[in-house]
Amino acid sequence: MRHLMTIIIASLLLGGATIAANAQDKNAKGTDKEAALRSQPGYVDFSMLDKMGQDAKVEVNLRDPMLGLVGKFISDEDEELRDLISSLKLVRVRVYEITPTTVERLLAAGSETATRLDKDGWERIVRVRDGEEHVDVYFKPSSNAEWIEGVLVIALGDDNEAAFVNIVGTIRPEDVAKLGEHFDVNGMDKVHIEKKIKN
Amino acid sequence: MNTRKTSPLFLAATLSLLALSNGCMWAPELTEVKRDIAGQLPDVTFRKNLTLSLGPLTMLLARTVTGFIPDASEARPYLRGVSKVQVAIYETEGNVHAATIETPARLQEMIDDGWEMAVRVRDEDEMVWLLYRIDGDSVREMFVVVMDDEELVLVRVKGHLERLMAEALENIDDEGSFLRRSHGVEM
Repeated sequence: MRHLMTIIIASLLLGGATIAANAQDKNAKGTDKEAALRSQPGYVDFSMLDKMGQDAKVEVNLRDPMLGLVGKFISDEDEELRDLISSLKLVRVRVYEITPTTVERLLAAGSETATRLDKDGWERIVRVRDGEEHVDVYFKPSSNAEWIEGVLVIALGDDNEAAFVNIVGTIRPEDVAKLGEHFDVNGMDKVHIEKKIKN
Repeated sequence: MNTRKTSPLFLAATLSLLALSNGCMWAPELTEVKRDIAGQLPDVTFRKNLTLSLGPLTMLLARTVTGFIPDASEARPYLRGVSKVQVAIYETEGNVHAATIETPARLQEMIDDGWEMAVRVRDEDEMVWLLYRIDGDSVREMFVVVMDDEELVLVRVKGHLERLMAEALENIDDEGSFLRRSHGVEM
């Protein structure tokens, strides 16, 4: 009987330790994945949006490997688009409702982001100011200027919504419009860039 | 009369297998999420409209049947990867302010446990959560919660769900594209 009790207790302890180790392992893996994404040159930290003091109305977080798996089916007809989506590492969207009280904070967050991006080697390639409509599109070129490693779109519309879109991956400059068209990100869909983005 | 005594273990295993094949092992997550949301909206009445649980055998039957019905054949490729579906639909009555609903604790636990939140919509009259879990090189599970001023829909799907996930992402928004809401202005 004593042996049986010992075996039961040992099993319980072992089971508990395994569960704890699994949980730790999962957390560690999650943190590793997050850290790997954050270290990507095209990643934009959206934490400045917390200053908006409101929750996003829409949040989209699609990351590798899900993008790769789903990309195979996202567009059956267009093989190029399929490969393009499969090669992305992250697509994030945040959409906020703009109110008279949040618009100031939003513009401040946008301005702060612009300064940071400029410092980090990003280039603003589209800037639109038309009444209440503001659109900025930023690219992060690779060091050899052959690829785009990240895209950031900041759009304030007359529909009282502000959208922030960050796409991370290895994107050919000529594919930016295709991505914009597919994801329906206005401001990106009409961007046509020659192969060399900067000399 | 010589009757064979059935072993309780054999009986339990048979019942479990039957339950699994029919999909009637109900996922507690669906009930827990509904309970959490209902707790956040004390003035709203939730009336169960439909609960459905389809297991591997039923899904096989569904795939076979859709093969013979011309109008349903489009659904076949999506069913191919699905091994289990659980659905719960509740009619709601009362003032649903979807934007005020916090992420249910059960969903947060799932996220902490390795699920990823692909989409979250928090509109004035509509709330959506789309979670998925990847195992190896496949999207193995998907959990969708949609609530508007008429109903709460909870769906949990298991299988190899890449195709289904792609479809869900394409249609998460009524207008067709899951990122359509990210538009700002026309240029």
